[in-house]
Amino acid sequence: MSALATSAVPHDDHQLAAAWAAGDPQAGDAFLRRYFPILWRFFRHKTQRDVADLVQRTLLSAVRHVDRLAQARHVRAYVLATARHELYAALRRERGAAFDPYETSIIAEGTSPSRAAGRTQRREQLRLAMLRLPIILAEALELHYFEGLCGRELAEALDIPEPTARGRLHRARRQLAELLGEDLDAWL
Amino acid sequence: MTLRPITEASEEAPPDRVARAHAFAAVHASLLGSHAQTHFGRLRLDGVLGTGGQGRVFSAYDPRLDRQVALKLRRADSPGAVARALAEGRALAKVSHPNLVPIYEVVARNHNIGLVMEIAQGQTLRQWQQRTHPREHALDVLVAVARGLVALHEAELVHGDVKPDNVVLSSRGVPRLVDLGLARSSRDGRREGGTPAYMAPEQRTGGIVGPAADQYAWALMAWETLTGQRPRWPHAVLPGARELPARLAAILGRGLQTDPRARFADLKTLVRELERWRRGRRRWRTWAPTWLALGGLAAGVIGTRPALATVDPCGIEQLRTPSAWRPDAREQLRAALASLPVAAAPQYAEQVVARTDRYVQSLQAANQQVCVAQRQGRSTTAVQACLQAHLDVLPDAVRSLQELDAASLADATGRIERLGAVAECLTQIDDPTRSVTAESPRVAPALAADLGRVSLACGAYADASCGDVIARVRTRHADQPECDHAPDLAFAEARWLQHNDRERARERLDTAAWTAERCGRTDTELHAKGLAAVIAAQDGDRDAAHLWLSAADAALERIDATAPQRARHLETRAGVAAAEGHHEVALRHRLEAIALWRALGDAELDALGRSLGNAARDAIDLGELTQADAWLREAITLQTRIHGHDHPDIARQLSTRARIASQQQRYDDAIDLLQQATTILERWHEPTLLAAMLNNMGVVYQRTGQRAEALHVTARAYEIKRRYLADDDPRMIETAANLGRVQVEAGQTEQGLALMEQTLQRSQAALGPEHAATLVAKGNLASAAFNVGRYEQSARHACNLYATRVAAPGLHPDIDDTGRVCWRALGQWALAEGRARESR
Repeated sequence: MSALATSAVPHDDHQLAAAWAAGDPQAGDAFLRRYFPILWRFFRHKTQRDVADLVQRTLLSAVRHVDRLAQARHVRAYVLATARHELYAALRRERGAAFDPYETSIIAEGTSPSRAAGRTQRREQLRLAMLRLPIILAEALELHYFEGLCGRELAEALDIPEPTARGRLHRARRQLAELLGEDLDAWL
Repeated sequence: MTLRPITEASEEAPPDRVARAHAFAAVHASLLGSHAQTHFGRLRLDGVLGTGGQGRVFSAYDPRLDRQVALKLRRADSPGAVARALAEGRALAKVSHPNLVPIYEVVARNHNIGLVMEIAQGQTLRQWQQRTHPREHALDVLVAVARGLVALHEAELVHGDVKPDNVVLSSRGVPRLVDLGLARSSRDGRREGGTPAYMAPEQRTGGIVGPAADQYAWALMAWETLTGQRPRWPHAVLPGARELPARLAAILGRGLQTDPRARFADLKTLVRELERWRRGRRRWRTWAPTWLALGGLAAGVIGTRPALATVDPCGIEQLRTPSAWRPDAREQLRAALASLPVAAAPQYAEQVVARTDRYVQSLQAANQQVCVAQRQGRSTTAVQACLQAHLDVLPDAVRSLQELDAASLADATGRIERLGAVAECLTQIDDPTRSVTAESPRVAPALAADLGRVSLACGAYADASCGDVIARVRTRHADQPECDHAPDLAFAEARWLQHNDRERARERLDTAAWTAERCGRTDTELHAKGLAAVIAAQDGDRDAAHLWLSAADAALERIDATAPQRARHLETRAGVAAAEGHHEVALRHRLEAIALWRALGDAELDALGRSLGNAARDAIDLGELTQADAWLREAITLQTRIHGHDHPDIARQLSTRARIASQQQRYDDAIDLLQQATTILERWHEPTLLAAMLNNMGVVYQRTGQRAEALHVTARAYEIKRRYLADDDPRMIETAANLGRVQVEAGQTEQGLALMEQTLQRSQAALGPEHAATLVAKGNLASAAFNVGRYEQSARHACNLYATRVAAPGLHPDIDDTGRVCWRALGQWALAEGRARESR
C-alpha cells in the first residue's frame, strides 16, 4: 500500500488543511495539535470567558468551513482572523457599549507595568505593557512578533490592506516606547 | 552584553498546564471524536496511513519500545483462519532481509490480526520512476527488490502484491518491499486481493497462486521501470522491447510468460541469469578498446523524458545545453529530413530527432551522475573525459544527419547508434570499493585478505564508504550458509549504523546476538549482547540495557569464558554504568578489565590501550584530570607500538587529551593535540570523527578569541558534513546554524545571519516548526541577532519561540533564556525607537 510510504503528516498548513478536508483524521489531529497552542495563547489573559470555549468555537468554525480553510491564502492568518472575531464578540458581551478596539485596551489604563507584575515576573511586564495599548495596536504587535505573521499575513488576519497593517505596526511600536518610558531601563 | 545561545528551554504554572491539557482533550474529542484514544493491545492508534482491500494500515505508537510503528489490521473469520494468519505472520516476522520492511511482531485480538512493522519512509519506486536514472542504477534497485522477494519465497511465503507503489527507497537509496500484509504461505495457493494491473494471469483467473506470481509481478515492474511502458495482459507483444538489450528483454520476457511453468523455475534463477548477463557486460566494458564501441546501444537511460531537465551546476558545463543540439538545430534537422522525397520521410524525421534527443538526455543524465559522484568525493576525471569525447563528436554527428539524402535516410538511426553507449562512461566513475581501497588505509589490507573483515573494520568508525562495502559483502555472501556470515555481518553493520541510525543499529544487534548464539559464534554473541546493552543505556532505555547485560552474563557462564572475554564483559558493564552516569562504578570495572589485560601481556596490548582510554574518559567525568591524562599517554604509547603514530584510535585518545587541556584552560595545548588528531583522521578518511574534532577545535578557538580560526575550522566541519548528510538532516541543520553563529561572531554578520535564516527556513519546511532542531536554530538566530544589535530580527524570532514554548509545556522544560532574549530585544528596540523619536 503506497500510503505506507507517505506516513509523514505534511508540514505545510495548506496541505494539512486539504488532507483534513479530504477526511484524513490524522491530518485533523495534526492541525489541532498545531493550532491549539496558538489559539490558547491568543485568548489567554484577554477575556474573562472560558479560553477553552473560545478556542473550540474558533476551531469549530474552521471545521465547518474546512474547504475554505484549505483555499485560504494564508491558513494561519485565516484562523487568527476567525479567532479575532470570536475575541471581539466576547469582549463586546463583557464590556457592552464601552468596547471600542481603537480606544480600549485589555488592561485598564493607569496600571503601571512594574507594579502590575512582581519582580519575579518581570518578563511578563512587556507583555502587560503591550496589553495596555489599544487592542488594535496590541494585536498587531502580538501577531507580528509572537506569532511570526509577516506583513501580508498580518493584513489578512486583521482584515485590512497591507500598508495599513504596516502603519499600524509602526504606530504600535511608537506608542509602546512612549508607554514604557522610564520603566524601560528597569527591566533591561 | 553577550547572550549565550538558547538551549532547551518552558514554564507554566502546573494548574494552568492541567487546564490546558483538559481543554485540549475536550476540544480534540469534540472535533475529532474518540479516535485519539483508540488502542489495539498496547498500541495506541494515531491515524490511518492507508486503506486497501485487505484491511487498513494505521500509524500507531508502541509505548513499550517508545516508537512509532505501522499496524496493518486484517480480519480473520474463523478460529482456523486466525491460527493460520498468526502462523503466517510469525513466519514473516522471522524473515530478516535488508530489502524487506521489518515486521516486528504479529498480534491477534478478537479475530483481528495485526501485523506490527516499521513505518517505511522515503519515496516509492513509482515516484522514483518519474525521474531519469541510468539503466544500471535501475537494475541495481530492481535486483535488490528481487533478493528481498527471494528471501520471502525461501521462507515459503508469497508477497502477492508486488508493484512500484510497494517498493520504498530510503534516503540512502536502499529499496525495501513494503505491504507484506498480504503475504501468505506459498503452500496455501489461494489468494485474495492484489493489484489487477500487476496480477499474474493465474492470479486473475483464480488459479493456484505461488512464488511464480510474484516473479511475474516483479518482471512486469522491472519492465515498466526500464522502458517506461507497462505491458497490459494479454500481451502478444511487449511494448518498448526495442529500448532494452535483447538478452535483458528475453530474461524479463520469460518472467512475463502467461503460463507459470514457462517462467523461470524460481525468481532466484531469474536473478542469477540477470546478474550473469550484467557481469558479462561489465567484463566486456573493461577490455573494450575504446568507449566509442561501434554498434553499441545509444540510450542507456530509461524512458523518453523531455530533454534539458534540471542539472546541478557541476560536471561538464556545456552539457546542460549542448550548442549542437539547441532547439533551432533540432528543428532544422527535422525539417531537412521531413522534406526528403521519400514517402515515409516525416516519420523517419521524427524517429531520428527522438533518437538524438534520447542520446543527448543520456549524456545529461550521466553528467548528473558525475555531480553525485563528485559530491561523494569520488574521482570523476575519467568519466568526464569520456563524456567530453561524446560531446566533442556531437556537432559532426548532427551535421552528418543533416546531410543525409533520400538514399541514405534509412541509415539515420544507425548513425546515431554508432555514436556509442553513454552508459560506458559511467562505468569509469570510481567504484566505491576501489575508493575505499585507495583512500582508506585502514580497510585496504583487510579488503585484500577477507571482505568480511572489511566490514568489521568499517564498524569501528563511520567511514562514509562503509555502507557500500557492507552491502557488497552481503551480496557476495548471499548464497552461502547463514552461519558463515550472518552474525558477523549483522554485528559489523550495527557497529557502523550506531553512528547514524541507532534504531536500526539495535535491530541489527538483535539479529547478530541471536544468530551468533544459534551458530555457536560465542565471541560475536558476547560482542553483540554487550554493544546492545551499552547502546540501550546510552539511549536511556535502562530496562533493555539490563536485559542485555543479563543475557551476556548467562552466555558468559554457559561458555566457560576466557580471560579476554571476561575483560570485554567488564568493559560492557563499565559502558552501561558510564551511560547511566555512574562513573565511579564504571571506573571500578575498567580497572578490573585493565588488570586482566595487563596479565595477558603483549597479546592484548591493543585492548589494553582501548581500556585505558575508556578509563581516562570516566576519570575526566570524575574530575581526575591528571590521572586521566597519564592513562591516555600510556594508551597512546601502547597503540603507537602496535599501529605506529598514525591510527584513528590514537586520534581519539589525542582528542580526549585535548578535552583535558581545554578544561585546564591550556588552550594552545588543546589546539595542538586536536591538530595532530585531525591530521591522522584526514589520512584515514574518517569524515564523521574529523568533522566532530574540527567542531571541537572551533569551540576552543572561540574561547581564546581566535574568531577567524574558529570560522575556518567550523566551515571545514560544515563542508565535510555536507558531503555525506542531506541538507535537511537534523545534524546538518545543527551544523549550518552553528556555522552561521560563528560567522556572525567572526564579523561576517550579513553572511552568518543569512545562513541562519536560510537554515531555519529549511528546518521549518523539512522537519516542522516544532522539531527540536528548528527551535534550537531559531533560538541561536535570536541570540546572534541580538548580539550584533539587530533587535527587530532578534525579537521576531525570540518572541515567537517564547510564545511557542509558553503554550507548549512539556516539550521544552525551561523557558527563561528564551523569554529573556525576547524581552531584551523588544525592549532595546523600543528604547532605540524612543531615542530616535527624541532626536527628531
